[in-house]
This record gives sequence, C-alpha cells and structure tokens, in this order.
Amino acid sequence: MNPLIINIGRQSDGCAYELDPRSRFEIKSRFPGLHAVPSVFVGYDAKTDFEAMHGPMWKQIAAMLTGLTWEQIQELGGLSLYDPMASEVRKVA
Amino acid sequence: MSRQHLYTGKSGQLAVMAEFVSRGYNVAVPEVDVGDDIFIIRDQDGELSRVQVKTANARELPGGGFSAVFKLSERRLRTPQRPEMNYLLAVRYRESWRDFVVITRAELSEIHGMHGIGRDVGGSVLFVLVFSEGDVLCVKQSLQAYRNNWSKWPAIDHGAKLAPDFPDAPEDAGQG
Repeated sequence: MNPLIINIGRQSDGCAYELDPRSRFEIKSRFPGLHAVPSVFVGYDAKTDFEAMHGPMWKQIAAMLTGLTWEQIQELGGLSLYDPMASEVRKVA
Repeated sequence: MSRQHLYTGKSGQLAVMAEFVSRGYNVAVPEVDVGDDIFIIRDQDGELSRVQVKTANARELPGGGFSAVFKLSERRLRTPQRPEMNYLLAVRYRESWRDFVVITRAELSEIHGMHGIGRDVGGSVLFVLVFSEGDVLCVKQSLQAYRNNWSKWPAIDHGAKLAPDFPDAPEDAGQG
C-alpha cells in the first residue's frame, strides 16, 4: 500500500503542509464524511530548524490534515512528506 | 520561448493588473521573477494576495465556443504556500480579453490530483479549457464557478469625491 503523502512548502518563516490530493481522494473513499483541515502552517525561526523543530509534530500535523488517528494512518501504509520544489521525500513512518 | 510569447504573457499580466487597480487594489510586480507575477495589496490594511498570471490566445471551435491551453509548473502547483497563490488564467479571443479563470493553487491542485484533470508533460501540467456561453470545461470538470470570479477581491469604494470645480481649493491652486 502506498503511504499517504503530505506536500510541504518551506518558506523563510515556516512551513505550509497540505495533504496531497491523491491521498485525500484515497482517504475520502475509505472514510467518507471525515472532517479535516485543508492546510496547516507552522512557523520557525530559521529554515535550518525545520526538521529538528517540526519533526516531533509531523504525526500531529498528519492527524489534523487527514482526520485519522496515527494507527489508521499506519494501516493505510504510513506517511511521507514531499517537498515538490526540492523533489525530496521524507518517510515519516 | 518565442518573442510572441513574451508579448502575450506581458499583455495578460497587464490586463489582470488593470482589473485589480480598477477594483481599488494596489499592485506591485516583483523585481525578481521567481514565480509570483503580481502582488495585490489592499491599502487599508496591507492584506497581500499573490497572483500568477497565465495567458492564452484562444482558438475557435468548429461547434461553437473556443478553447485555450495553459501550461503550469507541476512543482508550483503542488507546493502549499502562505499566503496562498492564485492563478489568473487570462483568455484572449478575437482580439479582446474574453474571460479570466480565477482559481487558487490549492483548488486547481485538487482538481488535478483528485479528478485527474490536466495532462502531465515533463514537469508541467497542461490544462485545456473549453469555453462555451454557459460553461468552462476541462475535460468533464466544470470550472464555470471560477469564470470571472473576482469575489475574493470585492470592489473597494475609496470614497474620493472630486468636485468638477474644486470649490475648496485655494485660489492660487494649480497656478505657477
């Protein structure tokens, strides 16, 4: 099973997170009626803080964006972050 | 890119800027072109909107209506941003600006990702829009709700009242 994908946009003051539309489609088809926020923005002081500061929050961010528990996300195949501008994929779990 | 593309793109950008100014918003063009074409500023409170303009010359269709093709960067389409970026798809047809499709990056990304609309071609996504009197279709997906939809930027009444003869102006105003 493919992991869910969260697209990220790293900016100078923080990072925007958004569930990839294909993952949203998959979640909607499996869990119709689920409510989730469309995007999340989390600030940081410096871009270099991104991984250290945000890493511990990724599971919470995923829960907000999907409306699923972490266990449900794992059952669906886990989670990856994708930075389209850098073409980088980070496997969260 | 041909020289004609440069003229076409710039003309669309200027047409969009003119629309925003006529609606009472200030506009600015970034000195360095890294994606955003225009910044829209609401002067009263400094609220900023980001806009990328894509321009296409439409082709007449045999059965009526016209079609326009837009090429967008797939990476920019997928990258979430704050403030959100807005696409302004400007359509020129029969030597006049005919329609503007006004849609946020997130909305267009969703249409592309969830409904498979738009063709991926080497790092770009091609959207072919077919315009008729009552609809704008991209394959089977209607974009009519976004057609000339400037509701995010309602017209601002700046309240300037300039009497034709400027009765309050000092007598020597405008002289010398």
